[in-house]
Amino acid sequence: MNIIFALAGVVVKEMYRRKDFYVLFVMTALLTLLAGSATFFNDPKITGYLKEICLLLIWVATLVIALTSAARQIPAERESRTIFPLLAKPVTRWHVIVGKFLGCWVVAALAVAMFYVFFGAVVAAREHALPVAHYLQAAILHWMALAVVIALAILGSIVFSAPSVNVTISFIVVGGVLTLGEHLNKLASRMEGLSQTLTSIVYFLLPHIEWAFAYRDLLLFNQPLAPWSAVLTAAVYWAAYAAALLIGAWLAFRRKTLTLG
Amino acid sequence: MRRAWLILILLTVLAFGLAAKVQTALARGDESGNVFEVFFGEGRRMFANHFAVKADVYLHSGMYPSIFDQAAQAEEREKKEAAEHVHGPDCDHAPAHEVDTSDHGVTDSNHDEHAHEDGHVHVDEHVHGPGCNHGEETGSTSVGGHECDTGFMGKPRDWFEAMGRNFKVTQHTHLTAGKEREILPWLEMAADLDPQREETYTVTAYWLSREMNKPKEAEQFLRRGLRANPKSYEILFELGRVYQHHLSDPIRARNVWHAALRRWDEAEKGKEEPDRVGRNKILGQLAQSYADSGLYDEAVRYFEEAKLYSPAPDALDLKIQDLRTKALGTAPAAVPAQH
Repeated sequence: MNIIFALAGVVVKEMYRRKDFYVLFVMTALLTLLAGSATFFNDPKITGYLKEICLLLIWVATLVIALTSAARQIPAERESRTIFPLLAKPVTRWHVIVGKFLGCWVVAALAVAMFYVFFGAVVAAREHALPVAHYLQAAILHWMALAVVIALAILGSIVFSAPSVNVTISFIVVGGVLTLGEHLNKLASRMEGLSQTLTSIVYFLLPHIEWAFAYRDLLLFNQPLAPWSAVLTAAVYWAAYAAALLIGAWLAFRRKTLTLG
Repeated sequence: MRRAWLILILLTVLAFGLAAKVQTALARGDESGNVFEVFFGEGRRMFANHFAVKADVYLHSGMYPSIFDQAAQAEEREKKEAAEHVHGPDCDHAPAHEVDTSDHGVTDSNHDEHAHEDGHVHVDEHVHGPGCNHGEETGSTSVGGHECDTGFMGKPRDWFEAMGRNFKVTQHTHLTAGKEREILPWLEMAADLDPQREETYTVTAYWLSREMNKPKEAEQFLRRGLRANPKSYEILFELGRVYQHHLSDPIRARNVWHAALRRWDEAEKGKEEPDRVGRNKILGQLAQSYADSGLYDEAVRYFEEAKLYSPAPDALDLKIQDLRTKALGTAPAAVPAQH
């Protein structure tokens, strides 16, 4: 376990040195504050649009951080050939996979926490309300959903030839799940034959991280909290999904021949 | 090194070229006050409806059917209609929503079931819209007289859908107590994207003047709409309402409604199927304004004309009789020139 923590620590330190997070955070903050400076019909109490823009930016920023950081971990080690001394130590390929995942996930947790603190501050300034429990639920769901995204990108980094390909495909898959995932069963119910079966299979196989994305509406429209049991169930489901993806990544990595050339 | 310099020079040329192009376009845009036009051209209109729908989503606190729900509803409705509608050999009637039921004064789209003389029965699956206003049905709720479809979700089809509903808005509520203001940014964006969409101005003015007590802002927004749509009788009608009911300026309201009638004549008079409802609304408000100001003869004149367009002319007859009685009672004082 110490090996995994050590590898995760290296990932966190690397992300700490890189500028990705800072740039995305500053951009999110600037765009939100710019949107917040607009007034509509001389009414300073309008906040819905600001919350919506801010939450969308937070989702985009965290997805970029999660996907780009996870997608480059193993290819970077291979490219710089540090993977060889790393695996020469008492470090297995499973350790590498899990360590890299954990590091990226911790980074995602820090990013999610920072973004939601910023969001809470913006909303508190405009609405004079601080629904902490709502933000906690949103952040937990968001972070757990990112576990699936990171695991997917790590699997992709082993399957695909280049990080750019992996990031592009992962973005398309994740974007598709977030926007269409919940509707596939409705589409399937209106189809017939093979197309219905295939659509249904895709629907049941996809990781339904759109639940976390949909939670934005509860924040936007000041709705009651989601049941904590549902939050826990969703978290367990995503954790299981991420674990399955990591096992898949490990199986693919185990068979992968690492060459010096 | 040389390549780097070349790329830098290329980028500089591109930047200056783009700046010159955008600056010229922006200068043009400043005249019309629309930056979206500069960047998106005519393509911006495609997004205008999206923002108008967004405003409606906000009004319903996020509980709104997706395009997939709407498609499923439409398909289900078609299937149901096909299954339950039996055509006879002499079946020669207008579609259900066009059947004129003048006995209660509205075009009949509000009945789930109505029989025809030849004995066959239509069953309408009516989709609620902002304009409909009738009793409760399964899967619908009424808030402040506004009826909406909330039955689109149905029962969850599977465990995933049931789980997902924990994180979605599943209770239908309307924004109230001043929170309606949240729809305004989306409506303003819709107007920016498609300035020729008249409905955006009238809907926004409705909320500003009636629900948010901001008649001045409503007036300004409608004036902006008029600049973009100088021939719009609907915007003029709404502007007149703002003057009459919220700015207590009946003279200006009547002037605006007279202008609206002229615009209606220009736009609708020659048409095979003119907008009778639009004309009826203007005439009704104009006549009522005259009546409220004690100008009964003028009021009678416009109510008489409204009878030609109204689906309930009998009700107007009663009103006209009442006004004529009042005119007789106050005639010497109100209109001495006539005697």
